[in-house]
Amino acid sequence: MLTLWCSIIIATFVLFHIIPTDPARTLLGPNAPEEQVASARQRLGLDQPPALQFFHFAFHAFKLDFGNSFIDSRPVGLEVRRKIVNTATLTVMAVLFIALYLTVQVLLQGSRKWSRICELSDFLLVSLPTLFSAVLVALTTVAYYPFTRFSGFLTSLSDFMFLIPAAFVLACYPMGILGRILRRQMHLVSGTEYVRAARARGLSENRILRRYILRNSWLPIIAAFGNQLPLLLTSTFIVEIVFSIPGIGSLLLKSVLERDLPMMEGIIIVTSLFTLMVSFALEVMYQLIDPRIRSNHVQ
Amino acid sequence: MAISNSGSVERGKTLDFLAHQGAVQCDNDPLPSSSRRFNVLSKVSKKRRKSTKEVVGEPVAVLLYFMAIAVLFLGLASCSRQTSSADQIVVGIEAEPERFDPLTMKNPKNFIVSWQIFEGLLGLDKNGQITPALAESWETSDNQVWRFRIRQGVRFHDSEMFGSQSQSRVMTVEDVVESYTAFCSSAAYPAFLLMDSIKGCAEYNAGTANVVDGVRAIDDKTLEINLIKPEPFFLNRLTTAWIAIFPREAKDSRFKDSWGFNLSVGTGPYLLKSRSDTEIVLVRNPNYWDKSQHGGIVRLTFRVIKNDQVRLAELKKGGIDMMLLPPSLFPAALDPYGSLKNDIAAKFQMKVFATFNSHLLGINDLKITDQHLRLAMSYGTNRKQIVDKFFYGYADVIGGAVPPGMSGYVPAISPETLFNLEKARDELSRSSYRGEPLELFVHEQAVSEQIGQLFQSQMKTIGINIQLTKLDFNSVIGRIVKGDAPMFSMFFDYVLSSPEPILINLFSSTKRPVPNFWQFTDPLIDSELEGLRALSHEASVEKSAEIEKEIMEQAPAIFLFRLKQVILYSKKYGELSVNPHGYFRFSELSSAES
Repeated sequence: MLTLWCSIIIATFVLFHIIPTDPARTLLGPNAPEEQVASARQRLGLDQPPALQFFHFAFHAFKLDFGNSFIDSRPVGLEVRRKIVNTATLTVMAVLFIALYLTVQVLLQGSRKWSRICELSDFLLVSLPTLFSAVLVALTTVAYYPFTRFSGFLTSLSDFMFLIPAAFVLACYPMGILGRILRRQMHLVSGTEYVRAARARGLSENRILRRYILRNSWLPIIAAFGNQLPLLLTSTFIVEIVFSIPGIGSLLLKSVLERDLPMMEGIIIVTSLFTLMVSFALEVMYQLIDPRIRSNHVQ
Repeated sequence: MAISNSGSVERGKTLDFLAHQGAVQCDNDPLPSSSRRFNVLSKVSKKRRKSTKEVVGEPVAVLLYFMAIAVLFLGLASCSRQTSSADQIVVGIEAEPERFDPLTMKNPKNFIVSWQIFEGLLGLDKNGQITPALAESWETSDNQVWRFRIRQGVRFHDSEMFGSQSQSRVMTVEDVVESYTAFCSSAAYPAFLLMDSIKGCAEYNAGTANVVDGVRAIDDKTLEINLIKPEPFFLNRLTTAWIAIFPREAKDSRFKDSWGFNLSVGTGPYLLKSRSDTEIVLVRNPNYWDKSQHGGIVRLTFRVIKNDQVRLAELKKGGIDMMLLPPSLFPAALDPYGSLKNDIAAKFQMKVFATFNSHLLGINDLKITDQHLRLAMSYGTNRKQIVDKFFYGYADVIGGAVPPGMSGYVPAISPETLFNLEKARDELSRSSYRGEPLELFVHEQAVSEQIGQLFQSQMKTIGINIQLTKLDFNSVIGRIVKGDAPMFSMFFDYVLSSPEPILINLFSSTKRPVPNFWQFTDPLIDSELEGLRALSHEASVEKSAEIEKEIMEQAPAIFLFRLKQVILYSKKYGELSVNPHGYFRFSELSSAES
C-alpha cells in the first residue's frame, strides 16, 4: 500500500506539472504585465527546477502538508479536511441507499413479478446519466422537498436531510450494477446442490436464504463494491455542483479551472489515500467472510 | 433410497455430500417409517407454501412503507416555505464566494456581495456619471497631480481587529495611502489599473521601491496622487470598489488567516454578519456615512445555488427573492418577444440594465496579417443575429471597443453599417485567403462556444473556413497571452468608466502583448492616443470616438455586442437601482408598498 501511495504522489506531481499552464498568469489575470507575473512565479516557487519542486512537494506530502492555495492563500489541509467531511457523509449515505436497495432486492427475490420489476429498475438506474438524474432530482426536491438549505456544515438535522436526495443520485448507478450482480449471484447459488439439499431437508426458505444463499452471494458483491467506490467519488463532482454542496468534488473542479496546484495535489493525494484504505479494509473483509480465502492465504 | 436431482453425478460422492448436509437419508441409514416420512414431507410442503405467501406479502409491505415516507415528506413540504419579509432579501448567486480580500478579489460574479462591504474613493451613478464616495471632492490643475479631500467621520465596520467585536474606528487618510500602496503590490490583482498611471507604482510592484512615490497624505484630510503623465480621465479608473479602502490592521499577522473569510471590514452600507460556503449574510451598517440612503433592506442573504435551473426553480418557489438571469435561462423565463412568461410575471418583476461588459472575437494581427481578410470577417458577421438568438435582444450591437454611454460616449461607428455581405465578399476577393482553416478558440463561459458556432456558419456563407477549438477559459487566456491563438472569443468587464484608458490599453503598441491582445500596431494611432492626455475630459471623450473609428477600419478584432443584465426579483420590492459596473444599491431598495 505504501508503494502504491508513493506512486500516486509521483504521478500527481508529474501530471500537474506537465500540463501546459501558468498558475501565476491565471492568478493575476490576463491584464497583468509580464513583470508582475514573473514576480508571482517567483513568490510561488514556480521558477525553481522541477526536481527541487518535486523534493519540496514530496517532503511535505508525506506529512500531509500541502501548503497554501495559490489563489487565496488559504491552508490546503484545512480546506480539504473541511470539505472531505461533507463528501464522506454524502458517500456514506449513498452506501446506505445501496444497502437498502439490495435489501429490498433480497426480500423480493422470490416473486417472479417483482423480480422483473427489479430488472427494469436496475436497467434504468444503470442507463440514466448522473448529470441528468441529478438535475431531475434537484428540480423535484426544490418543488416538493422541505429541506433545501444547507449551512455548509453538518451541524443540524436539516443539513443531513438536505443530503438525502444528493446521496440517492450518487447511489443510482452502483445500485443498478450491484442489484444486477446480487440477483444473478443469488440465482446461481439457489440452483446449487447444497441449496437443493437444504430444501429437501425441509429447511424454511428464509433460513435457506440467510444461511446458504446470501452467505455465498456476498463475496462478489463486496468485490464489485470495491470497484464502484472510485466511481462514487468521481460522481460526487457532478452531484456536488448540481446540489451546491461544498465538498471535495466541487473543490477539485474549481481548483482545476483555477490552476490551483497545491489544492489539486492535496485533494488527489488525500482522496487516493482514503480509497486505498477502504480497499485494504475490503480485502480484510473478504478473508473474514470466506474462510476458503483465509485458508488459502495461510497455505 | 437417496434423493438426487442430477442423476449423472457420481452417486457415491453425491450421497456423501447430501448426507453431510443432512438433506437425505443415505442407503446405509435406516429409512424412517412411512408415517414419519409423510410427516416430514408434508412439513416441508407446508413450509414452502407459507414462505411463498411471505414472499408475496413482503413487497406490499415494503411498498406501503415507502409510500408512508413519501406522504410524510409531502406533508412537510405542504407547510408553507419561510419567505423573507420586505426588509430582507435573499439573492441566489451562481458562484461560491471567494476570499473577500480587496487585493485578490477577481470574480465579477462575487462583486454583488463584496461591493456592499467595501467602497472606493469614487462611485458611478446609474447613468454612468462619477459620484463622490469616500472622497467628497477633488481638484487638479494639470490632470497630473490630483488632490482628493477624504470624507471625514467615516467609520469602518465594528470588528475585533479594532479591539473588540463592537469596536470600530474612523477611517483616516493613512488608511487610504496604505490601501493604494497595497494595490500597487505584486500580489494585488487590480494592480494593472494603477501601475501605468501612478508614479512609483510599477517600481513598488517590481520590488525596486519600498514606497509608492506618487501617493501621499498632504494633511489629515487630503490625499495627493501624482501621475506619470497627465490623465484627464484618471478619475474613471477609481469608480469601482476594485480599488477599495480597507483598514491598515488587515496586514497584521494575527488576522492573516481570517482576513477575507470571516473577517471582512470595510466602510460600505452593509457589514458581514456570517459566511459559509453556501450562504453569506450581510446586515445594514448602522454607522454608514451616507444618510441619504433611506432604503429599507436591513438584511441581505446570498445563497449559493450553482445550477441555473435549480436557481430559477428556487426563485419560483420562493426560496430566493432575486437572481440574475443568465442567457442560458432566457428560453425558460422569457417568451419569444423577450418579456417574462405569465407564470413568472405574476410574482416577479424584471430589471434590465446596460453594462460595460463587451464581447468580441479577437484576431491576432501577427498571425492574420491580411487586413482585407479581417475586414471581410468583420463585415460578414451578423451581430444582430447573435444578439437575437442567444440574448433575446438583451444586448446592444457594437462595432468598437467602447460601449456607448460611457462618460457620455457616442461611438462614431453606426451599428447598421457593420453587417454588409457585399462588402465582405469584396474584401475577401481582395485578400490572399485561399480557404485554409482559421482556428478560433472558444471556451465554456459567456455562451462563447455557441457564438463561435454561429460565427462559423456565418463565415461559411461568404467562403471563410473557421475551425473551432474549445478549451477552458484559463487555457484560452494562456494561449492568447503567448500569442498562440489566431482568433479567440473574449469578453471584457470594464472597470474603467471612460473610453480613453480603454483605447490606450487595448490599442497602444506599448501595451503588447497584454492587454493589447491582438498585437495591434500603428504609430499614428499611438500618437493620437497620447494626444488625448492634453485635452479636457469632454474633448478627449469626443476625440476618442474618431480614433476608435480609425482603429476599427483596420479590424484588429470583431467587437460584437455590449451585454445587458437581466435581473428577476420579487414584486414585494420597489425599484432597484444598479450602475453600469454592476453595483446593486440595496441600501436604496425598499418594499413596494413604501
